[in-house]
Amino acid sequence: MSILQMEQVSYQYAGSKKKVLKKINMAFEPGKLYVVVGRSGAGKSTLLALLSGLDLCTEGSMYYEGQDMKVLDRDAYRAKGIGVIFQGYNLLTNATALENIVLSMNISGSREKDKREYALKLLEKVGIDRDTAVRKVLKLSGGEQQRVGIARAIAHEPAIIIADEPTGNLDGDTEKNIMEILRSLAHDQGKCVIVVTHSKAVSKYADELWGLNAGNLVFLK
Amino acid sequence: MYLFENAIRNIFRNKGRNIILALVTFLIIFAAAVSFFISGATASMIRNTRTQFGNQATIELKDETASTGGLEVAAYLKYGASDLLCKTEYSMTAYGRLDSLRALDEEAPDGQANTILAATSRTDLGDDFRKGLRSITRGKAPEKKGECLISEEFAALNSLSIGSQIKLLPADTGRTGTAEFTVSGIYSDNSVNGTGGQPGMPLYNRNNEIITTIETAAAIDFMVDSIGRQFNAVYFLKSSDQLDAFQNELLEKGLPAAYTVSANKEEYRQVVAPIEKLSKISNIFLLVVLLLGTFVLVLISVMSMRERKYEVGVLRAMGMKKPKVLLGMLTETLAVTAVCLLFGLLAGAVAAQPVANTLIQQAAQVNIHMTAPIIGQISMVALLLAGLSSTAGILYITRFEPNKILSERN
Repeated sequence: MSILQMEQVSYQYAGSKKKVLKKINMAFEPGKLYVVVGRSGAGKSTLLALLSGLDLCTEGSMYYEGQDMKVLDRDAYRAKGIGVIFQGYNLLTNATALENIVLSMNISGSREKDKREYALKLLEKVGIDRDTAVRKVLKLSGGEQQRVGIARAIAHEPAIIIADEPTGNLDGDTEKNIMEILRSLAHDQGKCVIVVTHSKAVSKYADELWGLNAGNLVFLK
Repeated sequence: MYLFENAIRNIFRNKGRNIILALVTFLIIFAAAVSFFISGATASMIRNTRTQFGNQATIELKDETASTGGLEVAAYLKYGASDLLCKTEYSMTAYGRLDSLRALDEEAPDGQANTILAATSRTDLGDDFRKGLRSITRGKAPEKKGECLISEEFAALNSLSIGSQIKLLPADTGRTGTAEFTVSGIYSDNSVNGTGGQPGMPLYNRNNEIITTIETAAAIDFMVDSIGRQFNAVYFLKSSDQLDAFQNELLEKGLPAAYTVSANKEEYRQVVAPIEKLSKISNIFLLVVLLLGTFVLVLISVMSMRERKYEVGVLRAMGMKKPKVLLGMLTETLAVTAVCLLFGLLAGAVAAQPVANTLIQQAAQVNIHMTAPIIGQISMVALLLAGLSSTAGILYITRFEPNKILSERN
């Protein structure tokens, strides 16, 4: 059974005649790692915005656990239902890496007793040691910020993890490590992981590979 | 709880912005506190002065240039018998002629007035005694009918002492009669003008004055309607808003239409005018401070909007609800304001007195006090100002969808 479903979903920016996404039908299931590949301007960012509940489709419907996204509390969906790894990180730059994770857990209403310790362990898991964890995000490298973003996305244990170029700023070894983590989240913890990327290397981790081209979503593998 | 924790942490995370905000807020609160303290003190003073003088009524001629025979002493006393009054004060002076006694500075008895009979209803015997210009050195103040006070010099000149008898004759030619007094006490006149020293001018020597009660003076017929007799009546109303009612009562009792009853405005004006001026200045200053302060705070809020906008975008993308974002940021601003309020109030309280003294230029004494209502007013204004200026900015930012904010940033 799908956890996230798109039915005839189209998207058109206000004032534009062109549809960025065209009648997409797609069902995302738990326990699978989906990879969506596409070139610049293919509609990847728009698809991500819809999947992560940051925007609503202009035509068609999207359902999360059977509930129409249009009537769903999208704040709660973003806080608890999904975890998003942004390409631009979107971290609170004046806060430390640790504070970013703990705040995300607080917003989601995480019941973890020792949030600080839990967050530190999570950061270690993605390659951020304890010294780096207490530094301000602004002072971290792009790669380090990417890892903090990943840790934040999974800290509250969401059912769906959406990643926009999650390995874009990482070296080969770390990329492999991160993708293994994402695959493990899907296969071992039953999460639905959706990765949007243009990296061919990432494609090999996909359970299902989809291509986005001029607003059309096509099954590739 | 985490919202407040995060808000407090945020203050330290964004030191630069918050230091500027704190400095501006402190200056606004400080200036507003000075104004509020001065306004509070002046308002209290005006209120007290109004209570003090606003209930004093006197009978005056509507047209001061009009020629009338003046009111009779009996009329003044009759008007004083009113349920609307809580107190009356009468004073009277009239010229007299000493019988068989000499006046100071008198060269030779010439049948002219050589003494002044001064009468008062006040138990403290009037301002001269209250201010220490005169003091009783022997005996006591006149109480019973016919008792009087005389000066030490006058007593020495005529070998008079406590219990001596004095007779007073009319000063007006053609009038007959005698008024007899018993000396109940002797006073010393400490004023510069009290010593006289102008031969042939006994009326200029204050030591020739014979002081008695108003009851005694009012009973001497040739005195009460003598030429040059002065009579002052001050009526103390139970409530200052009963002035019109008192005037109507006096008109019913026969007060001629040429007269009016008026509050003691002159003294009130003298005391209140400089305070009102100070109050006006401080109110204008307060208004300017609040307007300027609001403008500057809104400006800071707008300037930090870009930075805050991204923060709002991230928090909203993480699923934080708009009201919580607003509450967190508001808490941050209010926490900074609260600290500024504490220091601003203290600094304002210290500075208000010297500022008031400088502004009022010693025309009156304004005593600044830190009272709970004033502190409450300042706190309300500060928190409202900070709240409104920051809420406006935050509400503006939270209008945007997180996707729009973040895509603009990225």
